[in-house]
Amino acid sequence: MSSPKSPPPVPDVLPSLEAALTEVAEQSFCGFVEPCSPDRFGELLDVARESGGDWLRAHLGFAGPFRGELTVDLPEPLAKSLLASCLGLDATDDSQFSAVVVEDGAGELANMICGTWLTRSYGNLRFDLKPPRVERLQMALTVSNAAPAPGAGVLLTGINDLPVRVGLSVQEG
Amino acid sequence: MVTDTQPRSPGLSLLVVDDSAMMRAMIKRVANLTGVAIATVYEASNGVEALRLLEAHPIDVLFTDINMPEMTGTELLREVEKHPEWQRMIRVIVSTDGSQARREEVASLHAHAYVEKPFRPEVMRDVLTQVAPTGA
Repeated sequence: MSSPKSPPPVPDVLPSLEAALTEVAEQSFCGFVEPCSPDRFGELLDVARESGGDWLRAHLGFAGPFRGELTVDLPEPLAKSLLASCLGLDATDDSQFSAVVVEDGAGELANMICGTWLTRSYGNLRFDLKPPRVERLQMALTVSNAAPAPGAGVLLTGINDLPVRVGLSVQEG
Repeated sequence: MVTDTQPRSPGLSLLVVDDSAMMRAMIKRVANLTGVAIATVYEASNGVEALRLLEAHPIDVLFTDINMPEMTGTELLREVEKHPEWQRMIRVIVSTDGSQARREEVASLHAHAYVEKPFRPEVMRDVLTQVAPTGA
């Protein structure tokens, strides 16, 4: 494990982040997680485009021995279907999915991924998680704009055959 | 707020404290699937709201998140410690933070269980089954 005072190199932690995503998706949302190559991710982006709906981005900041931010990008129809699965709702009944409800669900997804990752990877250290913040993206995600910012890392995955991008950046605490 | 009143009585009164409405709904759903008789489920989105409900209603089991705005779950449990009339209430932490550091921090606050999110429904069932004879 990395030194507790310095942030880990992001590429080194992406496998454990993917494991956390899988644990959360499977246990809470009955979701099937598929790691994606850029080409496969592009195919899932095409599926998302046909499904319509906005793209949501959930931000989750954390601070402790090091600090950082996790982001989860997902199409709104996937957020609705995950919520429906989690809460036993009818995914086709749009009246149950107000914007606030869907954004809350996306935020909680990011919260659980981040908390699970930190607990599994740094369980002897204390981190504080900030409340999630969710925005609606002005542009749909593409393979090119899904690339990570300098110093950050991304997981390109699919959940239930729809695309999910998880981004992670870390800094000194 | 009270968002779910079951006709079954007698049963446990639960208070679910989480800033995520989705997580409150999930805990309520799982609790209702356990087979344990539940009379009322109260909800609060932070510790301040939870204290108001505790002062107004008898609660058998308190489920609380840790990271919340206004008043955290840890601060809420510290407030609960100050009230002798609430000491029989079962206190369950439900948090994404399962770190040893956090568990040690709350160890002195008399939580009866520490449930990590994501949790399997059977974990919540086991918690409620254990406490049901106390509250029912």
